[in-house]
Amino acid sequence: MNTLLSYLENHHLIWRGRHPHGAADTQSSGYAVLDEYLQGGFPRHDVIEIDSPCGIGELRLLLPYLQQQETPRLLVFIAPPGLLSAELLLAAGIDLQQVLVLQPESDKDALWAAEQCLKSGSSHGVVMWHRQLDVHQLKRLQLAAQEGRASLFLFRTAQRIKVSLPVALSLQLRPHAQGLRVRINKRRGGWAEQPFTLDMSSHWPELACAPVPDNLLYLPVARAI
Amino acid sequence: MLWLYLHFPRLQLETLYQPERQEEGRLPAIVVLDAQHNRVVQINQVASAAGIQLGMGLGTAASLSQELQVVEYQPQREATKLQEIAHWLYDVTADISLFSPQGLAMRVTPMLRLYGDLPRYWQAVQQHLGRWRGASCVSDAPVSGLSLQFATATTPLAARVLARSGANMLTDQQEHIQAQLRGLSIRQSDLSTKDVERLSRIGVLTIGDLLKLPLADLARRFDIGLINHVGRLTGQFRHPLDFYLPQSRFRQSLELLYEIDNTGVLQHPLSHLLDQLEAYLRQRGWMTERLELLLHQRDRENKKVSIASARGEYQASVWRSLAALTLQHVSLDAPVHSMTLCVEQVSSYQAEKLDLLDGRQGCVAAEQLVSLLQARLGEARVQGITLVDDHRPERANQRSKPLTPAQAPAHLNRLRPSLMFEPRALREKVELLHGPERIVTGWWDQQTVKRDYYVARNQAGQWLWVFRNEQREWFVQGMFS
Repeated sequence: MNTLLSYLENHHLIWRGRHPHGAADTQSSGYAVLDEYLQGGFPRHDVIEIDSPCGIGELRLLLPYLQQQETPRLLVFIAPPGLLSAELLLAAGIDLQQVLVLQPESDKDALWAAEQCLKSGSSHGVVMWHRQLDVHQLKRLQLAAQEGRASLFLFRTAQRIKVSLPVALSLQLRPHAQGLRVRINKRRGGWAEQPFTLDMSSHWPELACAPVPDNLLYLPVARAI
Repeated sequence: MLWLYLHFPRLQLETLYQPERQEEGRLPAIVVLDAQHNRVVQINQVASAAGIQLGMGLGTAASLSQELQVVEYQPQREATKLQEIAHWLYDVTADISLFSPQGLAMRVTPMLRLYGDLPRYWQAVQQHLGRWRGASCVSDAPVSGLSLQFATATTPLAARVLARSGANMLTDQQEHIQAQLRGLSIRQSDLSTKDVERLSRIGVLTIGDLLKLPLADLARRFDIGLINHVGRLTGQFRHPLDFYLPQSRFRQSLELLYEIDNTGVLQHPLSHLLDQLEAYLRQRGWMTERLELLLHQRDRENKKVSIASARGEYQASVWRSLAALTLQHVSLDAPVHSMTLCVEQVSSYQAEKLDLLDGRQGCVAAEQLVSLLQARLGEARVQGITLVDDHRPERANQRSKPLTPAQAPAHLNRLRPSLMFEPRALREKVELLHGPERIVTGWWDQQTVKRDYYVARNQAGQWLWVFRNEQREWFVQGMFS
């Protein structure tokens, strides 16, 4: 009986309702609200897909997570859409010596580089801006991430997402005046949630609009200006 | 004083590179031809089985075997190889003198204090020579792929004469050596053909006959060359020799039996050289960060390829994979007929320290990863970032060599965008939220900047870093992504 149960368990044939399968290995994202929704934080050593327009705060969302690590290991950025700012990384507490920026010529090279960085064991995080990824490529990256105990953050833009990938976590980010509007598209061992607002104004006070008091009525003329 | 002489009768043939060890039946007959005299000077076993003999002309040899491979005899190539062998043997024996292009004389007596007796010394030399990887698979010699003739004698010249006659004797018995030497024909005495003829005309047919004649009598009839030769043979005259001194750098070349025009195929012979490099570096406890590979192209200039490893490495397996990645980007102008591998700088080897308990599974150090990435993507595409003390944002952020320690920055409390680009005109409606932050600097180096920076948010919700210049033109320079 016991063996039958464990067999069913191992093959994911038992539906456990809201209880996740085993304790998921997570690490705090640095934002309490997000941690709560993700039940602990970002999954460790796996691939996390982020669907987001550029420039709304998507990279800032990751910085607290990328900053925390026990032993100094590399942080690799692959094909960022601009020159990565040293000041921001330093301000976030990231050691610049451990940062690598790769600008591969082709998508193929980018994937190869990501796999090498992940499985090397000498990098703890890889952030990649990438266009199109197939399921088998993702599987390889996942295996590499587990082998080298590293996390891969994959930035994609909505127009380019065609296939749904079996990632550990898929987030959709949309702009918001105080931070980000986050929607969890997919989470291993969890459910898709309603979109929620992640207030980042405590981390980045300059990058938030002052909240509009709800008892305020604009005069029509004033609004037009 | 006892001398050991090693003679490599088929040095050029046996150091040719051939891709794979082929089955005995499929190995082609190869001859090395002295084109000037139209004489076959070296043959492999297949050729000799076909009936080809040393000294034949090319026509005769070609008529005996259909698939004959002919290589031109080049003494300077043999001389280079001989240098390499001397370099290799230098690990086990001290005084080596080169008799280019095919022989080495080694002074045995001083080495006996180290090795005890002659058989033990010979064993060390032989075993070490057996590990030499410079020879190819073309040959059929048992040890190290080199066929070898050797002899010991009390003078280097006598040892040479005995070795070249194929005596293959190892003894320190004076009488035995003398008897053997005296029995040799005058033709084997290494004298010029003219002298040999003159001597045989007066009835001197063996070396023994020659040595019976008193030197004074010989001096009356023959020139000084012959007297010197005889004196050196017997040890009455000193034989001045230059001893080999190893160079402190690695430089090995490999001649290919076939020309190669595909860089993928080049890796196979290259790995041969890398093995030698590993042996060279490991023995000395060295490693190197950069290899220079010279590809000698037919009728074209040599192509220089440098293979780098950020960490410094000695292992052939690591260099092989780096070389494979680097060679992918090399395009050849013409087929390659030989290659040279050089190492300019070495440093002492430092083992990498890994934490046993921190649970890391990957086993590649950061520097190794960087070299791997650089080998495939190109060095310019793998960079670190660094902060320079400058108020101009485009100057403050700079790319640097990976893994270089960053300097401590002076100001940090400024808010800066995470992604920056070349300033481009602002063409959309934005809402300015913070600012201005005025930056006026650079008047001293003709790159004056007078700008007011603002944090702005556009209709799409993107956080932009915009500035207005003196002409009141607006630009976007970054994004707070």
